[in-house]
Amino acid sequence: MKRLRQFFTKPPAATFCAAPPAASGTVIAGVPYDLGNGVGAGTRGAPARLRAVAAELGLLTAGVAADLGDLRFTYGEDPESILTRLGGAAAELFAGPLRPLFVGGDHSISLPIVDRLARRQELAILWLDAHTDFSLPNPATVGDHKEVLRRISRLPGIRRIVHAGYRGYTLGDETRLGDTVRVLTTAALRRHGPAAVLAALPEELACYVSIDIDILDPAFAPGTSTPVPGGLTLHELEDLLSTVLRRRRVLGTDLVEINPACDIGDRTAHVGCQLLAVVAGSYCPMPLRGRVTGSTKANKTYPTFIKNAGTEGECRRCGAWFLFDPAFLEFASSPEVTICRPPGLECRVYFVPLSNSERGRLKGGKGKPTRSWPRAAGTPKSLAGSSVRRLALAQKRDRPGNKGKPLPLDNGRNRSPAPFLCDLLLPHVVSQLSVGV
Amino acid sequence: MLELTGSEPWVDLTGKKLRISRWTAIESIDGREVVIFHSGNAARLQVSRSVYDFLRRFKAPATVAEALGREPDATILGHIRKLVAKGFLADSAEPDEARRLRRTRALPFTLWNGPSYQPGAAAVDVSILGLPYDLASSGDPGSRDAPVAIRRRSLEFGYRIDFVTGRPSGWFDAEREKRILEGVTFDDRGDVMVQHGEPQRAFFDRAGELVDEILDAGSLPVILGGDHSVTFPVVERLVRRRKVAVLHLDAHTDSDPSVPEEVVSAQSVGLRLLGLKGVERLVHFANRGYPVNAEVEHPPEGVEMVNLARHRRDPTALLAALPEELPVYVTLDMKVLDPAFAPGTSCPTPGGLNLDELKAVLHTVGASRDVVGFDLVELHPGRDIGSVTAITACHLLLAFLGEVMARRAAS
Repeated sequence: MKRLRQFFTKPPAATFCAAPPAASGTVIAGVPYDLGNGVGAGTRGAPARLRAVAAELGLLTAGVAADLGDLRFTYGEDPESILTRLGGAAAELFAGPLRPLFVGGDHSISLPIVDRLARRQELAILWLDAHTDFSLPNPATVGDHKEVLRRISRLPGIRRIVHAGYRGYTLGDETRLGDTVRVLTTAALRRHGPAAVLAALPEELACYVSIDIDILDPAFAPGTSTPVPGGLTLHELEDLLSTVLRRRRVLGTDLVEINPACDIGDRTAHVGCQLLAVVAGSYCPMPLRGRVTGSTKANKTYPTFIKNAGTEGECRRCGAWFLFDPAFLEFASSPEVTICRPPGLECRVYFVPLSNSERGRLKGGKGKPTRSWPRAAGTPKSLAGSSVRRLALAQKRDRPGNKGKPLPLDNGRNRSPAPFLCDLLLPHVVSQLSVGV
Repeated sequence: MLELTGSEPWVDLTGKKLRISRWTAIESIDGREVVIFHSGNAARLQVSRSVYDFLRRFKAPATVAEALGREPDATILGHIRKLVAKGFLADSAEPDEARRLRRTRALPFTLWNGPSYQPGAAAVDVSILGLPYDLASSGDPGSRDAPVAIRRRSLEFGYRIDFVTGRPSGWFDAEREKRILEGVTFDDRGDVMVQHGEPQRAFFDRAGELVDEILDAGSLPVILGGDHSVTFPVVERLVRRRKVAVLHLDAHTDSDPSVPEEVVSAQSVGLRLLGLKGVERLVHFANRGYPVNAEVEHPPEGVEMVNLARHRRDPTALLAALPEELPVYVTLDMKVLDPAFAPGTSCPTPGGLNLDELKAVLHTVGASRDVVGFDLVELHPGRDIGSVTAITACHLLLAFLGEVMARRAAS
């Protein structure tokens, strides 16, 4: 913490995190830098605006370990020296136990951050953006926000880039940007859901996620300088984000291009805070093992129905104890489950049946899941339409001989069910989450 | 002047007294060269200092011989005709040069930064014309600024011509992952002048004349409104040539019977179109809300209603309502979209289409009917949020024209 202070301003009056700094979780750093956006200045105001909105809503206490304040710099300073300082701060943060979440600023801030992370380890990038940011770099500058992803693609250590959200009309075909880059259009995201992104992100690679607010439809996020009609809804983006954050090892995130100067009544700032909450709350830091308590009773629809039930459990790693409100329990058949608790967040949990082998796996045995998931007969109706269902549908559609465009990016990994129940439940869980302390 | 050629009779210079047009101005001047321009038609000409000195003699009306001090030879007369044709010199006997000459107004930029219309150039596939007229809208006026607002945001899309092949490169449609409008040529004819205070008919005639020219050239007219009344002069000229079906994409039917019959208002244009001989079918699409007339329940002869609920139940209903053999004119009121996606309209009506739905409709119609004209109206930049409605309009133009021109190329 002390070493980090040299990089950042004094903590502002309004802050994302009022609690004293925690030892683990997400740490937020503001980067009010908008010198890389030639279209419209104003993203420099985003960190302050988001803090004010967050303070008003009390949204971000959950999962946020600390708010570092804003990057220390002076307007008029060379962009290169500002971005180098940002890189230094990023290196310091990545070396520590906290997971950084940078609030921009324009998109050019991602370059020094990713650069320092990629020096530490091999990396996959998930770039959520309406534009591919792949213009040819101008050698006279350190980074325009239009060319930042191409610069990142040239960094050593970047093994894979997944660009998601490309849409609209462009001069050239920007779906093919080289061997390491996969481009998923907004239309493809709509068709295949988060499964398409997971399929393109290798499981073994750690990941950095960059969120440009213009991936959202301007109806939801008007406060950005280069809006493109026809974007994702907030719900779609939340679903995508939470899936990736739980299913891949995400080392850092940024949220950029929110421009309060074009915002309508803080609509975009609210959306930004919501996304910060999803990011901070969705990481999967501690797998918890719980036991369902209370009496169980079978009925026709569900093999087992929990009555008067509550859940309690302890963290496998640190022993922390947790409790879910019994009102949130709807259905379960297995007395033992492993769930990932979004830190500090209440959530609605659906328990679904486990096969013996899956149960064995959860208990630490060697059993490997043998059947596809979820079993049709035992699936609660409330799961229909969730990512689980969509994943299954996408796989079905992709079978040879079936109609519909095959999912080109599926490497087969997603055909086998995820070993942890939580992995399947999470998108649904998060879509239901109500935020509390 | 743009629409004059040297062969027109009044360019016969014998005995004519000429003077410098009131629209002629100097852009730059130095010891050797002078650039003059015409603020009415944006014509530019670089002339030598001696030509400039000669032009100055027409400050007061003078014949060429008087200005020259001798009888002019054929070469000089040729040059003078050029100056007259471009409008720099005017016939002093012409009473109202401005009204006669100015049919369009010069613009700061063209749609997609593409070519502007050049008289005498080869015919293009698609011709853009702005009708910045919003005097027939009873709501909040402001759609007069729409053609310029759309063009301004369209600059980001950039029209390119491949240097090697010399063909327009078109665009890449990211959603459908295919190239559109490759090889399709455009020009932008600018905005038709609106003389405030003139009768509606005068504006409609001026607009109609330009529409006629586009149709004469065999180009597809694409009209940027304006309020919804501007559809009338366009369809009026179209039906002189062929029978058409009009597809009216709008939140309202614009068929208010209380508007006097001699007036074409934005609220009555539906009825007026129906009154045109040659409009065989009028299809109101996505009509919603609480109409003030009985038309929804009892559509008159030739009118077909496909409201949003019906469209969502049965997506084939729209095509079924458009006879296959009839060419279609499409008029798109931005209010057809939900105000969430198109906030910049004068009368936002909740419960509209989202962008994907509307694009799907445009793709279907464009791909399966012979489209002979298109207008996009009722965009109100003053009420827009960060230009998102103008950007959406650009997307809609590309989405629709992509399909229409692909069908034309195939047939």
